[in-house]
Amino acid sequence: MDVKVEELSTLTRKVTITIPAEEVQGRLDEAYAKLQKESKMKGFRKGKVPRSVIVKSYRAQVQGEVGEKLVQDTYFDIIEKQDFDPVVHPEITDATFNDDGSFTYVAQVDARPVFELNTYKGLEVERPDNTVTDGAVDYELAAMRRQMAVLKSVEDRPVAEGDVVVVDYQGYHKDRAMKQVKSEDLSVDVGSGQLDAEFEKKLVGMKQGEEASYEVDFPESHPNPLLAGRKVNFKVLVKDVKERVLAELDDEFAKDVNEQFTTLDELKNAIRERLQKDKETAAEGDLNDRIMKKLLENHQFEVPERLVRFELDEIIKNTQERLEKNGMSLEAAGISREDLEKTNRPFAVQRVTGDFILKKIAEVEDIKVKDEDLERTFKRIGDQYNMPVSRVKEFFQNRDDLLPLMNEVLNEKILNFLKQEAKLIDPAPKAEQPAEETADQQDQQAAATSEEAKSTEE
Amino acid sequence: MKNMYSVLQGPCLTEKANLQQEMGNKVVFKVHPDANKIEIRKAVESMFKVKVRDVKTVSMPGKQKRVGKHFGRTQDWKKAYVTLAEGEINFVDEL
Repeated sequence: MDVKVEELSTLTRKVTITIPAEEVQGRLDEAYAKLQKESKMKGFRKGKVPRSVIVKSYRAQVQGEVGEKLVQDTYFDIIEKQDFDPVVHPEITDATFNDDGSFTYVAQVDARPVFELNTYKGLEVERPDNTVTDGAVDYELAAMRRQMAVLKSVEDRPVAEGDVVVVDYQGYHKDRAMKQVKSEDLSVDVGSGQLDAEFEKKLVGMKQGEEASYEVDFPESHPNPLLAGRKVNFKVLVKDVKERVLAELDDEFAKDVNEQFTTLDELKNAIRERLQKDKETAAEGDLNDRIMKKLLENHQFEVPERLVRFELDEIIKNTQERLEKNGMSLEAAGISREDLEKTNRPFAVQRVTGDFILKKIAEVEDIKVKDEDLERTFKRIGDQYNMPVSRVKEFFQNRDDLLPLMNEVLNEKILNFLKQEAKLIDPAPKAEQPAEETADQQDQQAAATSEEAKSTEE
Repeated sequence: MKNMYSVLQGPCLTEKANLQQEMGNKVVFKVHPDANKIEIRKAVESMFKVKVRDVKTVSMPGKQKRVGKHFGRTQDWKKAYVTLAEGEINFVDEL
């Protein structure tokens, strides 16, 4: 057997394999003999079709099948003897039966990058800030107050910012009323910028029952074709001015928000707790990102192009799916595939590199996904979707579905390990309750795996 | 003369025909029952661009067939053994 290896790039290898005639002939004979035995052809008795006729009629089919088998039978043995470790399935090209009876095929493979593990223990990572400031709590409270505010009509006062104004308006283009550009009893939250900010500013200072008109010059680029490039005259009638009466920040208010709170402090604490939890989840993700970043900085090596491509395709597919859910397509959103590839390429490379590093660490540290880890993950998914663990398991019965999940769990485990080993530098020291941390991690994990579950569900 | 394309009605692909072809470069056709050897020779030579040395014909009687109590016969037909002097005819690739 003749094997030639060419290095196309640092990691891509082109392997040309020629299998000698005797071996190929034997295989072909076998295939034809089998076909001959079962063959049925008009004009011939069953199984009595001569070899020559069989060869003539079925050559292409038999050669295809035998070629494929030859590749399957020889490829792995040959690759095992080579000094590189392929990462993906090979791209088989140019499978040909030569005139002298031998068989040649070319396999292009990417080798697993060879690299030494650098420091991965005791990485110095800045602990993400997860303190909840009083300001954030107050902001939440203020938002609640606004939301719960009672609207009260005021008659003797011009519109001020923060009021809610009920207006009718009608747009005129060249003195003709535009049918589509009108509205009645529209509530405008002045100062919120929900409508046109200009428009809201105009309303300030007007009184109930007052009418006003103003002109707006819409630019050509305006998304609404009715308005684009037109000068439109708006007539506005202020019907009602309403003032927000904010509730007093007291125990009463807390009770109004939810009956389980009896005092304002309780409400504040609840808000703080919620914010804290949000922050910690975010911080956890942040920490993962930072560790990965450090790892990537410490390890720099070339990764197989084919894997990057695969990752890139995945990213693009996800983008497409997201757009399609909103009834859009890549074209409609004005994103070209090339641009998307260009911008996402670094991320794809990072992901592939990161995965290699993590897997290597797992190997060195002997981190494996055990049955109990999977069991725990299943349970978490089950809790999240309110279904029994057995149902969850059903979803992952297929090995193809289970593998990504296992990968996920493994990565999670490695990252947790790295987190334990990492040196956290505290920007603003704050004791973290370990119990809460693990709870958070589980949340996150469940979130990640639940996405998997979702996709399988679909 | 009859149309050349109505003279030759198709190849006769049977065990015997295959044997004939391999042994003595003879090809076997199903031909029009009224076609004579000269017509067959001309048709084969012009259609397959070969030289014909000899044509032998044989009239094949139709077979008796029965569907329930109804008897019938299949068509009588003519078979032609054409010996080639030059060139060859490959039915599998031609058809």
